[in-house]
Amino acid sequence: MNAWDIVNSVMGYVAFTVTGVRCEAFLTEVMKNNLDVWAIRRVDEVTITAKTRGIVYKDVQKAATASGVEISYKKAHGLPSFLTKYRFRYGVMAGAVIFCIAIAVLSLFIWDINISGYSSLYERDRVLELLSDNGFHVGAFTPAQDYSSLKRKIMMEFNTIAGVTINVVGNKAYVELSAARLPPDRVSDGTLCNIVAETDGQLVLVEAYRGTAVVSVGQAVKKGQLLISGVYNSKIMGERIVHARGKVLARTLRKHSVFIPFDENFPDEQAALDEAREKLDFREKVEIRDIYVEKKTEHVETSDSGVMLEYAYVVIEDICERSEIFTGE
Amino acid sequence: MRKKETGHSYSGAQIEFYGNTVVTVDGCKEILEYEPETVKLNVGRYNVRFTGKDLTLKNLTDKQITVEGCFYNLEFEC
Repeated sequence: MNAWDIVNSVMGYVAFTVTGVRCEAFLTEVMKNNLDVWAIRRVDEVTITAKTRGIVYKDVQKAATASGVEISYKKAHGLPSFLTKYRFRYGVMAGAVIFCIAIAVLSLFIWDINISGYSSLYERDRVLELLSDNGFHVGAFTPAQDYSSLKRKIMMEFNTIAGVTINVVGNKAYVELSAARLPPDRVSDGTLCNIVAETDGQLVLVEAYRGTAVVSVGQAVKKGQLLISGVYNSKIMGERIVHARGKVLARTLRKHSVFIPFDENFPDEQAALDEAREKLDFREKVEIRDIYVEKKTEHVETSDSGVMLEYAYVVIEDICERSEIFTGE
Repeated sequence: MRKKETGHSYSGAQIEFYGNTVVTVDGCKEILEYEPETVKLNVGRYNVRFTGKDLTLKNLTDKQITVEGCFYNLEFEC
């Protein structure tokens, strides 16, 4: 069954037979009057069959009369004829109306809640509980829901959730959670800690204000490597653990890249490259701000699908990261 | 040198074949003959006759007619 068959079934059509020696004159008349007639077949020398819409059948009859042929109604097909057939069967009509009302009413309730983006099952259960406490549960009336208020409440309740989207599609509710990016735990000044490397690099300055420097200028370090130890050898008090403090600058490598696919907005390489430059320049302004850039190189790679642009920076930056010492006390 | 063929205005009926199974005739004035083996149309200054097998008039609209079937031959009768 193709699309036209579906349209014909919904709109309805009438099959008819034309009998006469001047069937061609009838067809010409139909064509001149621009009547919707299709599936014309020759049955024998004086008979043809065809189909038309129910609403233009009267015009087709007029065309038949004008061209001197006899037209006979064969059968009506499709939804209108079906409804006409049952128009006096009130039980069927009432059943159809009740069915439509039942579907319309039941679609106003939530039958299932689907949560995605949660970090743990505990978090999912707590979100479900919070939603339920605020009237958003299986069986709840959809038009009565205040989605903005629900979203606000979830975000206020959970620090680990940065955004909530609630979409109701039919009877199903989709709750999408976006996890928040939490800042690293701050090591307070009173805590015993070492200073380790935040990223890979080559040291250009090492100044230990408190604690013992275990690396020297010119040395290459890896991420997580100990730079200033919190174990301090005091000549008066002996070895003791302190909150290490200092300044360690290193030459590090940073890479930013972006891929712009070819589409109607960026049809050629130059347009895609301009867009890529704009994106990377913006990122540079945000991420390489207040950092001394020693060298910057650009690498362009063009493929059939798009352009990839990469900026590589050699920067000198502070790579200190505090790492708490657990003494077991 | 062959001239670039643009800007011409053609007159007469437009006959468009899709393989040998469907033909659309735009500019048909009258249906002169319709049989399962032959369809003859008046397209103005001349007549067009399609011959084939199981020919059906699929669609009729204002001056346009679509014929389906298996076509063997096309004749112009001036």
